[in-house]
Amino acid sequence: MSSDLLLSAKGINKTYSSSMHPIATLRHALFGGKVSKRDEYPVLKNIDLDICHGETVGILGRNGAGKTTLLGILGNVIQPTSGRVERYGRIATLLGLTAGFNVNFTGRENAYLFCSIQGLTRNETDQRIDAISDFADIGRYFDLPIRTYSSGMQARLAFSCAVHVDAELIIIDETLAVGDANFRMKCYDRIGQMKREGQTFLLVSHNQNMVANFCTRGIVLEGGAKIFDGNTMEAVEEYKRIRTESMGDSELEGKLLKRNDGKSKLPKDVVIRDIELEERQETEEEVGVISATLVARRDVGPVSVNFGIRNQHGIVVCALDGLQTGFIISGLKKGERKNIEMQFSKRLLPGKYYFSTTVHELIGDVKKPQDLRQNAMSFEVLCDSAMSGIADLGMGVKLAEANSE
Amino acid sequence: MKLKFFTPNFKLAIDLALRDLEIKYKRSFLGWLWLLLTPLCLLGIYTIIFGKVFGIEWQSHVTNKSESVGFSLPFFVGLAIYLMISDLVNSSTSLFVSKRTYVVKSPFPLWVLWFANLIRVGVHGAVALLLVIGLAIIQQRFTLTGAVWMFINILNIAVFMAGLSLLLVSLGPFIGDISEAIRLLLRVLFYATPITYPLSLIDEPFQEWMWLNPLTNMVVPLRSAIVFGVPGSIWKIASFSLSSIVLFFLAYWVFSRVKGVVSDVV
Repeated sequence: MSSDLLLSAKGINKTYSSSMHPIATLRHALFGGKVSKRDEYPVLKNIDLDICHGETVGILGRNGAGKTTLLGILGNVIQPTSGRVERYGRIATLLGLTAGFNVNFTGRENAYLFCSIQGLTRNETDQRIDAISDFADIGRYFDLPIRTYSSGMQARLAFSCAVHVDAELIIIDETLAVGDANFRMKCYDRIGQMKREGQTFLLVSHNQNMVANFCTRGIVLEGGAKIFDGNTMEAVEEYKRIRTESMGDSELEGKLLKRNDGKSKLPKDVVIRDIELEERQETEEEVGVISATLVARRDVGPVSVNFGIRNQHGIVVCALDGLQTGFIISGLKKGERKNIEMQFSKRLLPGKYYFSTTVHELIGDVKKPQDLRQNAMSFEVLCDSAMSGIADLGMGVKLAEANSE
Repeated sequence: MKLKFFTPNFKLAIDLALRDLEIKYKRSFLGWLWLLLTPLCLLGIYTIIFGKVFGIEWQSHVTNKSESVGFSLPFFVGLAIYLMISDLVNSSTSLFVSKRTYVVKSPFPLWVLWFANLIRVGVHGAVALLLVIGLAIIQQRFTLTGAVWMFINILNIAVFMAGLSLLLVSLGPFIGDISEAIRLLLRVLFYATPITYPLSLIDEPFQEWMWLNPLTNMVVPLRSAIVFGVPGSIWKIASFSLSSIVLFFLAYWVFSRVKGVVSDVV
């Protein structure tokens, strides 16, 4: 494994001292000394990360979680406050759109510059320049200054450069998000193809589906710390959990929410317990029924329940907003229990599925999340079907009647 | 391994320097001609004002009887150095801020930007030097001994420039006042340095004070080598050389301390 190691980061910390005057920063850098805690603004906390050959690593995290800073440090653009990064091989970095482009140079000159920054000789660049131009596909703009480009065109050029410099590791920071659908498809195709050829990628994206589809490993950053590293599917779930929890926070912050201490920030005045799945034969079709119990730990106002089912790629097959169907429990006393049943038609095709549910307290027109059970239960659908995919749409094929004469 | 790290970065620095020059002259009609035109025009203007109107001229004391060497050549040596230093100082203080995209987006060490800037200024300096040498040859003042001392003085100047610019690029992003203060200082130094007049024009007791000005240490020995073919004071050359080396190490220390936090403040 160690021979496959491309990049190894140990104990990376990054602290900005944003409130410090530049001169104070300078004095601190020159002569050391203590910085008051109030001035310190930690962006990354003690991150360890190894990347090996052939991996496609996706980093997920909310805005401000430290994704770009981490990429900057890994790509040797930003120096960490403490910690070591060892790099074994050429690393192409696309931070933001422009990858250090000079807006007064033409696309062609910037391509040369980019390759030169990545350590390619003029000759090597000469051999690649046509491929770069073709892939970027920006036509005559290739010979016009970058300042005339749209952001999409810049992204095209940057991506095209990055994939043509023969880097062992390509680091891409949300560059793809600005391209149009065609270009994104082209990039994903290219990433897929290069992945098969053994290229290593490190991607940052807000797009969970992209991470779920492309990456072999997912990392979740939250508040500057690495809180998950492993299976992409689980990484996506973890990311969604953070987002849901924080959504409750930000919507109601300061007004209603009294935070509970502990890992989860949800108040959990009402919790969902005893989730179980059974199959039942209703009048017409077979249905799956998920039974659960709501338990009130304090007196709460009206509550409603959402639930949904995902497949193993994290794609939501179907989700229901209980409130919109008119499902409201008008209030629960402390200690009161209510049994509920959530049901769905058995149209799922073979595969593994995950069940998630949330319970909300309704305060005015705001839904305040009370409990979230992400992937509370998983079940496997086993059957012999000619159809594949997620859902049984009752597909069939036959000869058209018009042929019969 | 060390070498593998440095060679591509040296090439990159040269590449960046050439691109900077290219972008500067590409958008102009006369293009690279400006490299020659700027020093020549300034030379013309100052020669008319100081040489003709004020009648300043240099005397050669090599032989016992003093002989006039005119104004333009000795002045040109000083002017070339002044222009180069002023370009270097002005570009260095704001270097990391003006190259922000490279500082925060590109994966190469910061010293490459400093070095590229030094090369760019060096190219301007080399062009001016060629003009000076050309003029010296035309006026038949260029000698072999002079050439040897010229070479030594140029080495000294290069070390001083490297140290000065490294110090300024390191401090510039943190102290906004530097660029303004230095600009003002340069204005003063143009007249406080024996550029438009010979050092001998200054009264004896003040002459020693003039040597505290680094520009004097660059202009006077180089002029004496190119125009008069003699080293001048070897002690002065040696002490300037030593100070330049000390300056460089000081600058290197400062740079290695601040390079980690530069990207936080630009």
